[in-house]
Amino acid sequence: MFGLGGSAPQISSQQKLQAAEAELDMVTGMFNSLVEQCHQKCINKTYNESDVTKQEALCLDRCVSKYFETNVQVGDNMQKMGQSGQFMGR
Amino acid sequence: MSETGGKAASEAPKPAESEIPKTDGTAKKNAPKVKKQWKNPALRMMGIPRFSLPSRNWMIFWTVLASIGGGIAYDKYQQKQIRKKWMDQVEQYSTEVYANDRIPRKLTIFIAPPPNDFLDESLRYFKRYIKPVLNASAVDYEVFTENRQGDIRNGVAEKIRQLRREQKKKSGDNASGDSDKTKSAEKKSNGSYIGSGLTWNKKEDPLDEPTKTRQELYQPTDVLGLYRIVKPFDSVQRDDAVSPESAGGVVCIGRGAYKEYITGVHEGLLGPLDKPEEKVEVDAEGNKVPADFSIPDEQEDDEDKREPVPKPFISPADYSKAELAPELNLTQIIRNDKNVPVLFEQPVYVFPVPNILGFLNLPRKIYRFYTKRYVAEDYCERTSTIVVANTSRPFEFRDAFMGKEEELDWPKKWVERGKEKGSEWAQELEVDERVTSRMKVFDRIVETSE
Repeated sequence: MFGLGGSAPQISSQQKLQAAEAELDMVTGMFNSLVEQCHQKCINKTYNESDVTKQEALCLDRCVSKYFETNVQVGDNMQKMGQSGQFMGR
Repeated sequence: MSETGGKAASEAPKPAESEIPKTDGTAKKNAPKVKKQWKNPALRMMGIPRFSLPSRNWMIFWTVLASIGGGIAYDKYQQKQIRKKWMDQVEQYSTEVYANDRIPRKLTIFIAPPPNDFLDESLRYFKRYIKPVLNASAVDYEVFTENRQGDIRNGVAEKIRQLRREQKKKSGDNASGDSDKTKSAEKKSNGSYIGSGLTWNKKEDPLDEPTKTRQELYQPTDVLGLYRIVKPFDSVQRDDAVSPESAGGVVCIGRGAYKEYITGVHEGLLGPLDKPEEKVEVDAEGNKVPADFSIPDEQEDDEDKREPVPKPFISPADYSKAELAPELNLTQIIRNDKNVPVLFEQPVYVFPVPNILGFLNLPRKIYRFYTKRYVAEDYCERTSTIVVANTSRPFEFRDAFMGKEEELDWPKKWVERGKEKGSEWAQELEVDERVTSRMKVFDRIVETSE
């Protein structure tokens, strides 16, 4: 999903751990930026209401789904580029 | 003349000199120079600057410019005010406190280009007058557009056929398999919530498994610790699923989109499940139906690599003979796996697009251009009735003529050509009682059509 989901067959456990950590970092980073951006975009900063209003809920729904969709597409494209050799990886 | 004019300009303060070209009446440059003095010495003493009207031609120019510009600006301003008025009116719906596990109502919007014109024309009406109101009232929507005739019809029909196929397959299985399937479908639909919620504390050790993709091992939500604090909700409550009267809604922008939608529903419910191959061939041999049945002519020069739109599986003449979707249990309202009534069970509405073409129609075009505020008012009001949406009523026969006023503006040549080609836009809209008795419309139509 995030561009580096492939599985390498013969690597040591050390490398595996490193890969897992890197991926965890990536996922966390993505989640944080998602939260930040959607909050920035959707939530009314005056905080009149303790709960989410319908407008904000709808906006958040759209924001999150759009974010994930974009992420998947970017990931796919990057993978394609990586396979075709245009892109030297990270 | 220009020489003397230049001279006169340089010697402007002397009135005696510059009077000579003025008597000629040809050098306009000199005229203002003459006026560069005060008739009334009192004004001069008070320091009030000289004021004089520009020349005749400049006056004409400025007047024309100001009236054209002013007309546009006024219309724009009024549109803005109208939009604001209606947005404020529906804003109450968007400010209600909303639980996390609810999903707002979702409209399905079909937009077709006006005849012989581009999709942008219809889209503009949607963007300017419908979308702001929908957004202000926090109604979700999904837009389907088409660039070729028949796309909407085919899409709608295909969706219904898909539903019928699924139902057929389901009824073929036994009851236990049936329930299993729905369960798995449910799990698929919100698997990321339920699945991850159950597995977050029993994470597998990645070292033991040699090759497995990350998706199989864990979901992003597992590792973020999100559900340590907030338990995942099992089921999402959709507002559409609550009452069938106000569930969702189908909005067609343009009479053509409406015709296609209705035809599509008929095709889906009455037509066969598979493409009738033979029938088409017979027709082709009989030279009755042209090959490009539903492709609009204006798209022909387009280098369009897409497949042509499939022809309708059933023609309107055969509606009465056909059996009404034997696979579906039509005694009750059909809902999809999210418990939302399917498309044709939702109320319909049409916005006629006031688009007009042709050179001879130029005066009407200009009039409409300067009075777009009336369209804005009309559209916004209609949209707000959709938003309120407790006013759907059963489909009546006259509803087949919803938005028919738009057809008066359609170019006659285009309609003729469409008739020759058998386009569904140019034909009368045929409805079948069995299908339309299931359908609903938003009620505002009554006032407008009468």
